[in-house]
Amino acid sequence: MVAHAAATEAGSDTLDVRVVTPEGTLMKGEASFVAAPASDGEVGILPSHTPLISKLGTGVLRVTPKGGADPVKFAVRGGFLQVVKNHVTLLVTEAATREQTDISALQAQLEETLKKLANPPSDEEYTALLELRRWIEARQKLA
Amino acid sequence: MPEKARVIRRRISSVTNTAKITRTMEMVATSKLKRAQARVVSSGPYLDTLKEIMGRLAGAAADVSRYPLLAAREVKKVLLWIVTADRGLCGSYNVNLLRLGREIIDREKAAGHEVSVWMSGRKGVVAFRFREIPMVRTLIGMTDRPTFADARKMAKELTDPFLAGEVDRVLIVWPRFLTLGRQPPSEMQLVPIAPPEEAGEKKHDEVPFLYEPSPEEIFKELLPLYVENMVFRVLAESVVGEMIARRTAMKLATDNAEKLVKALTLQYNKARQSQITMELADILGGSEALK
Repeated sequence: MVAHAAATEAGSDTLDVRVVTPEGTLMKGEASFVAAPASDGEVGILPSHTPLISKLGTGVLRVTPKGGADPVKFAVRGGFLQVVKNHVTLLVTEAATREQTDISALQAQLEETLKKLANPPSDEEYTALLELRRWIEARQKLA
Repeated sequence: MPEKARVIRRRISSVTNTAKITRTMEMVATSKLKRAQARVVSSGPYLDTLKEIMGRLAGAAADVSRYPLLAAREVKKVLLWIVTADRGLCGSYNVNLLRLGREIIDREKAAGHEVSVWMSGRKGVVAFRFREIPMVRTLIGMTDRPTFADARKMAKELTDPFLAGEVDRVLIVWPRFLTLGRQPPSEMQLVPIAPPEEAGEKKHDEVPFLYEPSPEEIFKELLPLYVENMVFRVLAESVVGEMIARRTAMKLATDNAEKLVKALTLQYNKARQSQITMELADILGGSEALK
């Protein structure tokens, strides 16, 4: 992989982006900007970013293609982001695209989760429910 | 006495039907194989990048005791998970996997370790029951389209006993996919993990990485993900191995059946002709007698 990065360095003004899950590659292409949900907010990657490995949170991943068209959006749930020499790889544990999501079912799920959050049985449940809420909201934002 | 033509014809019909079945099984195995292989291949980029990141962080693992999944300890009890198929008609696929399993059990016992066997696949369960080798857990009906969610569940079930101190090492026997022609039964140590070595080719002009939130936290989260991925590999490659073995076995069976039909047809024709000759001789002899 290190040799590969040396051989095909992206141009200094575009990012070579790959979004991969354990089951396959969701996206491969050139981009001008990537916004990813990190554990404490959002991280934005522009070309010539310093090498970085970051933990991903749960939220919406936006990849702005080269040429400035509308960003491609994915709802992602955990994983890692690596940037090195304009090669951006997102190792996503779980992801959803607009096509894969049944948006109408999400609102009901959200309401149920909010109800449970009002009376969480334990601390771990509370954190898990918060994360679940973020995951539902992330997919809702795909619409 | 040569067989009657009628009897041979029945045999030809029976073998032809068998050939239909084996040919169908060969085709089914081939199509399942394509899908299963695609699953293995598409999981590649994720695993490769995961290993790359782990290699970069391996330095952060200096204090192994902070990462329970890495910590090796004195081995008293071993968990061995053997993956076999639910169905047969796949040549020596199951036999070879079980043989390796038995070798490992013997080896571990000789080293004074207690072995807990988890067996997946009906063929393996039946074989070990017959040999009276005790199994702590049996898993039958595993899917031939494993998802990462399946792998996470299985990985958790395998690592929980290790983390709880009930077992000290988890081993897996499965058909490692090397090429379409080679899927040798292989042994893997799932936990404790031996992390990939720091990438030897690290370029010296490479600017050091930023780590968010911290290298230790990232590494800590990478480890269970690595385990889950290894389990996914095992599940996916096992399906591939089984499909290749069945395809080969059924192809051979079909080819043999076709050869047999050819040979039987020749025999049938000979038998039919000699029957006709005998009938003619009968008739002619009878008519001669009447003259």
